[in-house]
Amino acid sequence: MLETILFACFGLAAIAGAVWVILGKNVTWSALGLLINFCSLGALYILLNAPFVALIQFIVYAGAIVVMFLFVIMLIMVRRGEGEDRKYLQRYAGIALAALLVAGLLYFGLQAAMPQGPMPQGDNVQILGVALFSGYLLPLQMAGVLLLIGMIAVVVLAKKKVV
Amino acid sequence: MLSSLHYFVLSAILFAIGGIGVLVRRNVIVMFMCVEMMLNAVNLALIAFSRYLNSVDGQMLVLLVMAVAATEVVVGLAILVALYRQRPTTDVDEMNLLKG
Repeated sequence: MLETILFACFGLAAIAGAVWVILGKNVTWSALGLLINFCSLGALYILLNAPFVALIQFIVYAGAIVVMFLFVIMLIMVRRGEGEDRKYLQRYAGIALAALLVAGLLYFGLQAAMPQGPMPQGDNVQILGVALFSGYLLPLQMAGVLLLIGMIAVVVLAKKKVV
Repeated sequence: MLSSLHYFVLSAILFAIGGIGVLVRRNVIVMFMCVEMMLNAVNLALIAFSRYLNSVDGQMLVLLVMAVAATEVVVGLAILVALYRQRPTTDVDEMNLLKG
C-alpha cells in the first residue's frame, strides 16, 4: 500500500517535472524541471530495490548533468532569439507524432507478458559489484574508454583555434 | 498491487513527453534536456524489468546508459558552445549552415 502511494507521488512528480521542462519559457526554469524529474526517478529506483543505481542517478544526473546544463545556460545567456515555439502546424504535428509513439508503445508493450516476481533478496550493491567485475568487465572497460574519448573531445572542442 | 505494468506505462508517458519536447521546442538546450528525459524514461523501464525479473542485467545496462549519456551531454554541450561562438543563437532553425 505504501509502495503504491509512493509510486503515485514520485510518478506524478516525474511527469510534472517533464511537463515543466517542455512548457518553461525560461531555460533556467526548464533545468529546474529536469532536476525534479531526475530526483523523482531516483526515488523510484530506490522503490525498485536498486539503491546503487539511484545513488548514481542522484550524483551523475541530478548533480553533474543538471549543473552542466546550468553552466552552459549561464555561459551563453540568451538575450535575443530565445527560441520561440514552432509554428502551430509543426506543434500539432509534433504532438500527434508523440501521441502515435506512445500509443504504439503501449499497444505492443501491453501484448507482451509483463514479468511478475517477488522482491529480490540479497545485498544489491554486492551483487552489482560482483557482476560488474566478472561478467560485465568488458562493457565496464569500454565505458571507461568512452569517457576518456569524450573528455579528450571536449578539450579539443573547447579550444578556440579549432572552431 | 504494483506491477511492472505500472512502471512500463509511466516510462512510456515520460518518453512521449520527452519526444514532444524534442519535436515542438526550438531552443536547442531544451531539446537536449528532452533527449536526456527520454533516456531516463528508458532507464526506468529497464530497472523495473530488472526488479520484476529478479535479474541484475537491467541495472547493468542502466549504468552503461548513464556513462554514454554523460559523455553525450558533455560533447553535445561543448559543440553547442562552439556553435554559439560562430552564430549567437540557440534556435535550431537558424543553424542551417549545411543546408544547400
